[in-house]
Amino acid sequence: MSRGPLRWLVVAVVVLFAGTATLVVLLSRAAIELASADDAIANGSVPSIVALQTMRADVQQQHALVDEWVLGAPGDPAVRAAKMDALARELTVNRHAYLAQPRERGDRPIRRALESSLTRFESLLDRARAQPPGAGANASGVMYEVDAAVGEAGNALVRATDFSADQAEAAAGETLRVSRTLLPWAVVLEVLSVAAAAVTIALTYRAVHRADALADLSRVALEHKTDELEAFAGRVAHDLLSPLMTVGLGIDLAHRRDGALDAGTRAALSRASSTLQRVRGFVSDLLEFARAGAKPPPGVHTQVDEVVREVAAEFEPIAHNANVDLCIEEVPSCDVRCSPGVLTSLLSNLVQNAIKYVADSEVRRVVVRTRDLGNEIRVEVEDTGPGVPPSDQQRMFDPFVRGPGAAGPGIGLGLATVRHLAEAHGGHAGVRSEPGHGAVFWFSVPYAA
Amino acid sequence: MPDILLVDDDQDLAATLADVLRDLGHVVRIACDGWAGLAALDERFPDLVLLDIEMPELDGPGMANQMFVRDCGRERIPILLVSGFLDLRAVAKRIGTPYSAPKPCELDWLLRIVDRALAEKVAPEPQADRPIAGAP
Repeated sequence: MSRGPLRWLVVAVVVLFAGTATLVVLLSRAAIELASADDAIANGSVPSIVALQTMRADVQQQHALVDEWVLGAPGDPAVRAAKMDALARELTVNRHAYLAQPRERGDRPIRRALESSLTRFESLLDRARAQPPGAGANASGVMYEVDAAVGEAGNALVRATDFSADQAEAAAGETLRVSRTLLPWAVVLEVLSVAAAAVTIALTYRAVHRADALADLSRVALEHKTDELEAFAGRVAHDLLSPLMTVGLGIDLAHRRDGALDAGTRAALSRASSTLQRVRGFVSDLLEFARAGAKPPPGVHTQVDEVVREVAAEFEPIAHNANVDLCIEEVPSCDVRCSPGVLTSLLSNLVQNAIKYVADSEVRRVVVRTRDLGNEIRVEVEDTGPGVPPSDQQRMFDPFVRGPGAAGPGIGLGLATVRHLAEAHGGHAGVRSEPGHGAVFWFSVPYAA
Repeated sequence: MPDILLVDDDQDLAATLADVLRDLGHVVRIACDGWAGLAALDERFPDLVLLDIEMPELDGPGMANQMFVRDCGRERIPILLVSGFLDLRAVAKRIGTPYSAPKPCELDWLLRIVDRALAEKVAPEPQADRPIAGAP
């Protein structure tokens, strides 16, 4: 991704986060404000109004009952007295309930007026009840005062009720105000966040698309490189190996006509011949390594047991000469996804190595066996050689790395070629070994479909 | 005295191999590409053609094809492919000859194949379903 779109992506992501975070903060604060307004209505104004209304009813009922008491209305005075006591208790309860409500700003004079008018009403009520039932005109003085106190208490209760109602209205108004203020901001932030999210998605999609295109490009480049490598290998084979053959033939020809040669010249020719042999081996190794990365052609397959038999037959005399016991365990008859040449090369490399490195050991045995791994077959070559130290086990498969104490010809491409070939065919290659207890070199190749 | 036609664009290799074969008592002619090889065949038929694959003008498989097209006995001459071409065996299979030797190879080994071809004289049998294609 180039710097321009990347900058825009960063900006879009920042806007998205900032917008979402602001929206969350705004909504949280609004929720707190709305909750406090609701709380004021539900737990402040409403219970106050209920208590005040009940007290108003209590005062009016008390007023009626005390009238009946003084006028000596029909009915049992004791029952009336009990009713009046009950009402007085209810009034006290409701007074406490009202006073227990949280204080509102500016409610002090209202509460004070209510308190004093109710106290006055209660004391006058007590005085009126001290009159004997049916006192009539004798109690008219007290009754005037009771009437006035009832009016005063009633007014105080109405004012307190109005005040609480005003408080509730103000809280409701606050709720509305918060909602109205928040809505446009919420809409703007939401739109901004959605836009930022859209930009983020678009830029990310573009980036992924471009990454895909790049991956395609590099795959094509890799295939092209493989083709080039093939062509290079072909050219090397033709242009380098053919002249080497001419040199070899020249030396052979000289050997064949050696009647005219002295001993020194013959020795020099022998050295030239063996050097040439080595150079040919190197070039062949390089060629094989260069070609090892090529993918197998579609549909190619090879019978494993046939190749194992052929390789065993090829190496039997070599193993015999090196005094090595070459054992082939039973190999199942199955097809794998590679050409016979590739399988031969894989197995030959491992068997050749094993024979080479086992040669100085006391017990000289090389065992070839296979293991079924479900999707692929693993071919193992076990030897009784000196083994491979753990530190060298991974490095062994790198190009141009030779085994410890390697003396014979070779440039260290054998195992690199094995891994390269196995991986190009969808398999793997590796080694497990304990120094002093031999080594098991293996490769795996997928079964043919 | 076996008569051998050597068709190879590598003049040094051809000359050296010719020397070796002549030392063994063979009659050897050299042609530097497919067309020159066909002209040599017009002169007389050899007992064996040692044929390179990659050559300018007309390559080895192209010459083998022409030997079939021009027939009159040319198609019965055994061919030994000697080439550094990587898929040598595949080309040998397409031409239908049982004789092939990679470049480079041991001289003794090459001479054994030459002797075998001269003794067996197995004529090439190109695959019917596929034309003999030249080297890519």
